[in-house]
Amino acid sequence: MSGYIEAGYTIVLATLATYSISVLVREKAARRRLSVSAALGAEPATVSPVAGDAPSDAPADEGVLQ
Amino acid sequence: MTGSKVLKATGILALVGVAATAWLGLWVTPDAVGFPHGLVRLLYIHPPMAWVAFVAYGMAFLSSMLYLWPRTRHIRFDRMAGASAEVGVVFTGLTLATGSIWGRPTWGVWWTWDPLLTTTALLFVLYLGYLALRRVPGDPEVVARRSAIAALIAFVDVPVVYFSVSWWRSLHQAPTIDFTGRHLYVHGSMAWTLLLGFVSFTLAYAWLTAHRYRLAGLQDSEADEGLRYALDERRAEGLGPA
Amino acid sequence: MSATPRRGGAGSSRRLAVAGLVIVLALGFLVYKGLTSAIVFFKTTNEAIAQRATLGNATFQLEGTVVYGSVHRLRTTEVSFAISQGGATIHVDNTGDPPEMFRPGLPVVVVGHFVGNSDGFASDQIMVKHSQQYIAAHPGRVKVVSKSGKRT
Repeated sequence: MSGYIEAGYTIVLATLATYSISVLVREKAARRRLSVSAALGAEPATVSPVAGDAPSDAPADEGVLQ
Repeated sequence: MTGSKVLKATGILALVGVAATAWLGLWVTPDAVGFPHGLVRLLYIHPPMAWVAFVAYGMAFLSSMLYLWPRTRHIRFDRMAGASAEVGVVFTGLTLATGSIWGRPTWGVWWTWDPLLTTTALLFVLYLGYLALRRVPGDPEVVARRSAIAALIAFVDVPVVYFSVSWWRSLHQAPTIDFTGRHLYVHGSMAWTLLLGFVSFTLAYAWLTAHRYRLAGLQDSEADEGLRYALDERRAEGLGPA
Repeated sequence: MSATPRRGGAGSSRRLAVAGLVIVLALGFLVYKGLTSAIVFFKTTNEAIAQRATLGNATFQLEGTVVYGSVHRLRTTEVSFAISQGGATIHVDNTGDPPEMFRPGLPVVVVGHFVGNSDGFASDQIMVKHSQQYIAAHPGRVKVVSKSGKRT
């Protein structure tokens, strides 16, 4: 072993671990924010129903929530 | 639900595989002739990084084609292209980093403007540019279309990188796995460890890209939600005085 | 905020412009490097001899295989050796430590220039090319590899 090998393995494993965790954390946070806003969003929606004339350029929900 | 289970299993397999690759690569495999200080051990991580980057850009290319093709056009292909390219950039960065670390003790230099190294650096910057372009604001469909076209253009560099070693004079050795002639210049347990490295890091790619893709979908729904609120508010304002 | 990159505000668009500029500059630099250095990364020994007159004392990268028995360490940080290729041989004096992988029979790329009017080459950097063949070393046997420095 020479230091170079350890450095190579460390950089690969540490980078991939950091990136994986960041994606998972952001995914979880986004999911939580969406479920909160869905709960809050139920009320204003009943006051002024706009579901029918939602902006047509908005991408449809892919069901990626599950 | 089942998709989620498959994803979880992929993640676990990737984790176990990468750990096994590191264990075999660092402690079990023998030294190679001509490589002092066990420097051959970087073989098990450097080529897999480059391979995964190619796979990732290939996936971004395919997804972009599917997006541009009118009959298959769907925003999910745009998300997939973006997710895969981002993972590809991470792996290209790792290709450059591990290559540099391997180059210093074997070739004698951290970096040199050799065709393979130069075109790989170009690959890295091209896809960074692609990711930046994706963030340029605009109508979602316009953004998706121009991103898809950019992904097709950037992909031109992928075969150039792979064949640079045979097209031009290079310091870098020919690819360890020769896809065109189906040769493998690695012996015994070293070959098996390298193969395991390829498989494990590819699984890690699949897992990472799937999660990044999900995140992109969630971010899009959030953006839509924000837009809907803004419209609601504006409508409420408009209704107020009436 | 940052979760909606596609509909970013004015601040994020300025940052994007800066990022775009940096990326375009980097692309330009890499294409320049590709056209000037990467396309012809080195001259082979026989090419350098053939172009000796035009090369003068210009600095360039030179490739050749280190000749067996030609390596002499002059001082701790200086090594002299001959490289040959295509029937031509050039004598190289290198200042600086050669890489550990440096040994006779392996192709190298040296960075430097011809000295005066001679065919002697002064270099300050040696880059060792190794092949893509990885052969397991057997601890018991030392002479495993033959001198088949053959590359394809």
